[in-house]
Amino acid sequence: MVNMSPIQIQLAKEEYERLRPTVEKKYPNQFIAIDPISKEYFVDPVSAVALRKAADRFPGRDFYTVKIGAETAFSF
Amino acid sequence: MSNIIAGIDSQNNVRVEVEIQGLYKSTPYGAVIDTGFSGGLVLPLVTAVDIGLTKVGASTVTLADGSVQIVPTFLSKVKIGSLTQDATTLIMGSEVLVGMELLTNFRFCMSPLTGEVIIDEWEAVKKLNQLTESLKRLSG
Repeated sequence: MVNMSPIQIQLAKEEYERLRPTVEKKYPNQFIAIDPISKEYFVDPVSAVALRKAADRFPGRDFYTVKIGAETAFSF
Repeated sequence: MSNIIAGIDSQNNVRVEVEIQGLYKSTPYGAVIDTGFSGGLVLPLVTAVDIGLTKVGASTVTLADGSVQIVPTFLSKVKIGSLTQDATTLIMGSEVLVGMELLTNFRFCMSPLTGEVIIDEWEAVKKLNQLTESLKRLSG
């Protein structure tokens, strides 16, 4: 399966809601990649850099990416 | 000055030559520049699998009609001109798209009338401007 599992997405969303008050103050408009297993997160103004930090720390894992303070990570 | 190949195609899409680097191979594409896309790169699934990109999870995306989707997300390296950058790569659609996150380090000018598109690396532009200023000072 190419997409992240719904359970992992739900866990990551819950973790983001828990982190939201802190990260919205500290890192507004930056990207956050959340590991739903360890609950560790990686922040950077560039989404690819946040994901690279996450993938280097936990190779092979799936991360949920959000733009802090926005409804979604990316838009068209 | 620019060594980046870009232009406007017969469908009025602005395209730029990029090289997408995966685990298995690196492939050149004439990617469509989508200035309405805030992310880095969009690829069809078959392309991502073919070149061997690393899956890194999922991202939420707002589409042009306002709907929200969760999209599989990979990491790739993308070379434009001489600059290679990590790119957050969303798997959707059937076209290779380059978004604004990948264009941050470039100056981008286009003339739809003539079909001319010029893309320069920002560092090269800054160096040229500094050189021009130095020459002006030296010549008095």
